[in-house]
Amino acid sequence: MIFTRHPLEHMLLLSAIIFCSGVYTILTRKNAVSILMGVELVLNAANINFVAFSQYTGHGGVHGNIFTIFVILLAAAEAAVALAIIIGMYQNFGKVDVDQADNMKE
Amino acid sequence: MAAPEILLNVVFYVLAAAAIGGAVAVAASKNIVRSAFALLAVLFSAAALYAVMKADFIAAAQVLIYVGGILVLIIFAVMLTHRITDVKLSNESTPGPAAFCACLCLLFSLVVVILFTAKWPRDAGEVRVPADGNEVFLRQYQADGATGLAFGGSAFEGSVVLSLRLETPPKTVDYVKFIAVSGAEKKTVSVPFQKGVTKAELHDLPEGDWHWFAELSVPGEDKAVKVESSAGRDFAVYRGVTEPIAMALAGPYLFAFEVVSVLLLAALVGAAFLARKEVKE
Repeated sequence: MIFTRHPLEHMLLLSAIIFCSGVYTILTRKNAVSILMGVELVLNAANINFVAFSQYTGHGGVHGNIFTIFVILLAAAEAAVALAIIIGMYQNFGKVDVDQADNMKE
Repeated sequence: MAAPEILLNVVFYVLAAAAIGGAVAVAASKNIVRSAFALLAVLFSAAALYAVMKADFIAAAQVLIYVGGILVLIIFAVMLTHRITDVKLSNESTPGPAAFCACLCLLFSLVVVILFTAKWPRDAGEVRVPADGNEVFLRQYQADGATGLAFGGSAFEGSVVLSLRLETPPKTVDYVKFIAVSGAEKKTVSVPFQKGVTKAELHDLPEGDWHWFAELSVPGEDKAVKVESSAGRDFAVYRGVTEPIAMALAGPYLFAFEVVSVLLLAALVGAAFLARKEVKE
């Protein structure tokens, strides 16, 4: 099984590995910036899937590519808001570990 | 295997190794600075993979927005963190055998689905057309002159392979004439009839929506048998993917595009509001 014979399967396997690394990062890290990196990995895996399906299965469309553009734009907005929240967290708690922010628990 | 195909394979495997290595390093590295720079490797490899998939505009957008915007933001956040080299402070991770097992199970199920259960449609399907007691199957796929890849219904490179298969082939068919029409444009190619599948390649097709049909010439008869699918548009030819994306964003996706623009503006205003310094009274 080589890439040029089965391009779609190769891209999907690659994005599955990236997705699982992202999920592992999100599950295990406490630092909010690291968790944000995991989210970026997951979004990139989804983007690779969108472009691969658009290119290798398409019936004459570029719709997968357009969804990728929207995902990239939303990732930009999400990163800006997430980093602002992290700064706010640091100002309030002095740390950016997500298990420190627990003042809604009581 | 031709040299360009070998090159494409090598390029893909190098990029895939860089992407996977980077992703694993992001997940496993103890040092958050190393994680951030491994993320850089993943994002750049992803951009190059988009270029491999001929999504040139997406590759450019990936480099501009992800690498130039998001990653620089993350690296700034990391670098401004107090005492980043102290692993315990900067990147403490919960010991995660459970998380590791969960991710392995997830990966295993994804691999099973990709390789064994799902059947993805790879090319434009065959169309059955009746002709003089014979069933004729028409089919087209993209001819990539450089690599010999067979793609789906869009011919980004301006080349397409047309194929025709006759059920119970008669001995009398001499040659097959493939004719592709787009508006006033017309391309014709004649090939000798083959038992099984008769294929012909058309190159240097101008942009546009194309319809094609075949004419089977039978010796002794002056009128060729015409076989044609009922679809008005069989394939489309693009030069690169940028113009179709622009047309789609300005057309059917215009409202979504405006909504995302407003959302981005609102997110930036909200981020500025969240990150401002609290004024103590």
